[in-house]
Amino acid sequence: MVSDWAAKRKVNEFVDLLAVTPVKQFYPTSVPKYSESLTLESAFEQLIELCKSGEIHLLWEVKCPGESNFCIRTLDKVSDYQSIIDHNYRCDVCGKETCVTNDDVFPLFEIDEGYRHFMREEFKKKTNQTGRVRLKIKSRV
Amino acid sequence: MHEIGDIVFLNDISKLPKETLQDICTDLTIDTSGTSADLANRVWEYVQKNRRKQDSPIKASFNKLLAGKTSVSWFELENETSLVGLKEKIIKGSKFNPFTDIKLPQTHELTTEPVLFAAANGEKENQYFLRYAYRNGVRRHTDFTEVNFVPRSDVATVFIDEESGLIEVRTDAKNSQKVASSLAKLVQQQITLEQKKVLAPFGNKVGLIADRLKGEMIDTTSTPELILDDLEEEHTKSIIEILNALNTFFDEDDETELVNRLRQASDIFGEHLLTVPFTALILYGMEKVGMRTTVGDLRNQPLYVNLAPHLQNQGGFIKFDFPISGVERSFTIRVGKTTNSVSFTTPATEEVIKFVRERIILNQTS
Repeated sequence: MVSDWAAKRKVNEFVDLLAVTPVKQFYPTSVPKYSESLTLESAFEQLIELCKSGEIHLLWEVKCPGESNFCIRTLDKVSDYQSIIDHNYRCDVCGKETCVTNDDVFPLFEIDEGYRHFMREEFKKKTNQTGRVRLKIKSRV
Repeated sequence: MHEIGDIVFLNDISKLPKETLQDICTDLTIDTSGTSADLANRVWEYVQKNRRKQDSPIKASFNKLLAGKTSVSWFELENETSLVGLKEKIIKGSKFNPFTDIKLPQTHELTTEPVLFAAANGEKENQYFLRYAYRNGVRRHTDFTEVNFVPRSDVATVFIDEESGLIEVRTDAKNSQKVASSLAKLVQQQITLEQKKVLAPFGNKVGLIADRLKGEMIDTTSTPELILDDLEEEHTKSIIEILNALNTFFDEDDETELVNRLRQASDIFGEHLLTVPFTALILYGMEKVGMRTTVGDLRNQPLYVNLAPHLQNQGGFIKFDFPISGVERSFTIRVGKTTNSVSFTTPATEEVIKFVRERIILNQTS
C-alpha cells in the first residue's frame, strides 16, 4: 500500500501541535487550513489512521438543520454513528424537531486526554530549551 | 402541446411579488393599481383568455411565472444515468398525457404524495416543465364555537433538461425530495435519485460560490473549526483585557502601557494556552458566528478576514447581478451546507435560475 508520507507527517504535526493547545475537538476541515498541501481527503485518511493508534477519536456530531435561520445548534456528539440515525431531537434554541438522517451528521475529532497529557509533558521539556511553540493557521480567506 | 402559459394557475400568479405583478400588468397594458390580490386576479383573467394567442404580450412574462421566490434543488439519476427519453417514460407512466391534457386535482383528493397534473415544453423539445400538486399540512380555522380543519395544498414545479441530466425541483427542501421520488416512481426507475450537493463541491466556502456568480458574499453563518476547553474564568477575562488594551492604546497612545497590559494578560495563561492563535482564543465558547456586511463583500471586511481561517461556513447569502432585458438587476440567494438547495430570496426568472444552475451545479465557466 502506497502511503502519502507527506500528508501523514503534516497531519501528525498538526495533531501534535493541537494536543498542546487548549483545543479539545476539531473538524477535519481545519486541517487543510493548516497546510495548503493537504486535501480534505488525504487529511481525513490520515486522521482515521491516528484514530486507530488512539491519539484522536472520531465522533459524530448532529447539528440542528433549522434551514431558514441557520440554526446549527449542536444536538449531540456521539461515537456510535448508528445510535443517532433516525433518532428524534428537539432543538433547545429554535425548537425545531428533527429526525436525524445521514445529511445531518458530520465527523468531528477529539484529542485523547492521555495523549494531551503526554504531549504537554514533552512540550514542557522542549520549551526549556527552545522558544515559543505556536499553531499557525493560514490566513487565506 | 402545452406551453408555460397553459400550466400556470391562479395560485402561482398569486405567489408572485407585487412588483412583478405590476410589471406584468404594465406589459399587458392593464390596470396596475390595487392590492397584490387584485393584480393577481387581473393577470389570471388575462392569462385564461389570451394564453394561446400567438403574439400575446403575456408571453413576455412567461419567464417569471414559474420562477419567483423559490428554493431550488437538483437531482440526478444514480451513476449519472442519462435522462434522454424521460419524456416518453413520463407520458407512458401517467394515465394521461400531461403535455396535452391537464388533470387538475381536487384539493380534498390530494395526499402528501405528490401527483403530476400538467406539463409543458420549454424552449427546446427535450426541456420541459412538470407540475406536481400535493397536500402540505392542515390549516386550523377556529371560530366562536367550533374548529374546522382545512387541508392546505401546494404546487411544485420541476424543470428537466434531458441533456444536462438534471432534475430541477422548485419547492422547499422538505418536499423537494418527495417530488423527486414521485417522479422516479412514475417512470418506474428502480434506480435511486441522488441530490446534487451545492456547497460541498466548493469546500463549503460560500465565498467561492459568490465568485462563480461574479457576486458578493454579504452574510455568512459559521462555526469555529477548533473547539477549546481548559479555559477558566480568569482566562476569558484576560482575553477581554487584551482586546481592551488595544482600545486603550489608541486612546492614550502609550505603547509601554499597551505592552504591560498585554504581558499581564498573557501571564495569566499557562504556557500551553497561548500556543493557539489569539483569534482562535477569542472564539472560545462560540457555537455560531453570524456576520453580515452593508459594504460589498464580507471577505473584504476586517472582522471577517480576521476570523475566517478559524471558521467553518455553514451557509450564507450571496448577492449578484444579472441582466434582465438588457438591464442589470440584483438577485440574492441563500445557500446552506445541509440543505443542498439554493433559495432565491429575490424573485427569480428562468434565465437567472439557468445562470445559477450552469455556474454552480453544472460548473460551466462560460
